[in-house]
Amino acid sequence: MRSLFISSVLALSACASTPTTTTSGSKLAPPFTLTSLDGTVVDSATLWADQSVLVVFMASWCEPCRDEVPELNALAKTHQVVAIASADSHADLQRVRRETGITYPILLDDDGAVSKAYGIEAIPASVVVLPGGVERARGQKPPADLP
Amino acid sequence: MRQLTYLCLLGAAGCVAQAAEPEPARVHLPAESHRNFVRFAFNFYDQTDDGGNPNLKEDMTVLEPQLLVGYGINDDLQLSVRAQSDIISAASVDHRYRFRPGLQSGASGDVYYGLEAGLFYAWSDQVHVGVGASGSLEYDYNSVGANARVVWDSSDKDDTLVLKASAYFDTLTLILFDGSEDGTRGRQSYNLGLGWTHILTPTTVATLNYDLTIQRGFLSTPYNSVVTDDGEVRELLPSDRLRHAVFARLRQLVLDELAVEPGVGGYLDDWGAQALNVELRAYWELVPGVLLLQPMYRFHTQHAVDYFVPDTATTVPDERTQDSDLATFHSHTVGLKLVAPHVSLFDNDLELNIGGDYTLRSDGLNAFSLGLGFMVRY
Amino acid sequence: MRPSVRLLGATIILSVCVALGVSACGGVRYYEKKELSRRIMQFDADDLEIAFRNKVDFSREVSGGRPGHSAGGGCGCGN
Repeated sequence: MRSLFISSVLALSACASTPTTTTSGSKLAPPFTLTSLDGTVVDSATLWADQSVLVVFMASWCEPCRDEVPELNALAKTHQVVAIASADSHADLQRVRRETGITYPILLDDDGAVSKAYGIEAIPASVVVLPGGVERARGQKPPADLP
Repeated sequence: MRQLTYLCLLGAAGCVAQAAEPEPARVHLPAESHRNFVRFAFNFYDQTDDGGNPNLKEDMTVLEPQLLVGYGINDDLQLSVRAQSDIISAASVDHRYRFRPGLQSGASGDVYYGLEAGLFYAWSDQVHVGVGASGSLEYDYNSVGANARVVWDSSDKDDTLVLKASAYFDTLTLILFDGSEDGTRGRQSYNLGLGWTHILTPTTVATLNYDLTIQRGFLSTPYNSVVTDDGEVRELLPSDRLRHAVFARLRQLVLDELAVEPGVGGYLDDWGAQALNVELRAYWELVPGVLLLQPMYRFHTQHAVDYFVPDTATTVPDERTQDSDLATFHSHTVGLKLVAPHVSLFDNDLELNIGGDYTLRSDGLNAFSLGLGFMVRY
Repeated sequence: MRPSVRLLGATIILSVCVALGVSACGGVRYYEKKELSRRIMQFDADDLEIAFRNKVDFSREVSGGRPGHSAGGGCGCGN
């Protein structure tokens, strides 16, 4: 489990909408359009049109999420990393970004709809999305490498 | 029982509204996830004898330094080592004159050294396993032990189940109440523990724990005696004991900076002992982000073991004890602890704490304790 | 007064019922657990204090301290 990404599927809650699949049966990551902490609107379709994306679910009050920041910052130098914070205080997120030096965008999922669509039950959680929006794997920790 | 059934149905029928709204910025103390730390504590315990066994003076003082080191070997493996020493002074126990020079037993004073080491491994996102070993040494007693545990988290982290097992193998050198020696004996203790922690609401978490302990071997206290009209004889207790203990606690955030924790526990064993504990603790962020205040109250009541011999006894039963700690009594304990979780000193992140408590026992064996502690995170 | 075994059993049953009853409505979403992550909501934050209290309670009472920690062996401090 050390540097390998655990490709275990998190149990989806009864209320979560299940991602759709491609014609080949691969699971598509649920699309989203969210505003970042800086006010930029980010559309997932554009985000992973031609690159892999690591989507990290986090919260300002989550200590293990903070512990991952150095690792994610390193990944963000060569890959696209985005964090999604659900129903979290914007001011607290600003403070955490300042304190930990997060370099990747933090997207605001204020009503929790995106985390629900992804079936996220606990954080930290990471989802690898391939170009075109196919979900490759997910787990608690970020992968050591990205495709 | 009817009322309980009603409450059960009510609980199942009711629903707690879960509203998630962004909250204004506040500095609250998060739970620590630091894996590397050194924690040191020094405790002082003093018991005064204003009752208890009328044939003994049970004044006692204990000084206890403790050291705990935690170290993250890698992302998945955590090491912890704990060392402690007890310096016990019971000089007023009136047995010293019976001992030949150089002989000591726990009745007149003692030093205890203990060492524990454990490894905790993250087997997967949901399962952690731990193993450990321990050893302790006293003048007339030594012990080795081993333990293991498995911790399972549900995928949503709302539930945690813990299964623990431990075993201790003790060797006692018997120095009796009259200073005579009676060789060595062994004692084995096996413990199985089950724990369940459950998140009830966004501001409520509860835990339920059950312990089963089986003990075999020499279970008496060597230096204890029983005084009857027939004279003074050594304590003798059965060589088997089966113990059950259960405890439930609930932590509830009641105000923005205040959480309270009621707890209740029960105990019974096959020696006829029963006990009930009721506790109430509070955790108050006195100065948010800076200072915590933790008051507590504990009520304990117990019924004596079947082998307890009142001091008015006229005959000596085969199995007998007059150990005050196995008698019938109740006690009230009040305590207070102050914690400064983040103190910056010479670029180090420290935690400091100071606390104390006082126990009033119905048999007059009152006690107080003081503790100082600090932790360095690195 | 002999502590009641019935009271003990009732406590356990009530605790389990409350836990199961409330949780039957659905779990707590992860983003609602902010308050639970705070220090004042964590059980057993001080390992050394727990070890000291258990040793003291273990040696001075019949019940051997708090469940969740072994009630037998490990020291010569009595029953």
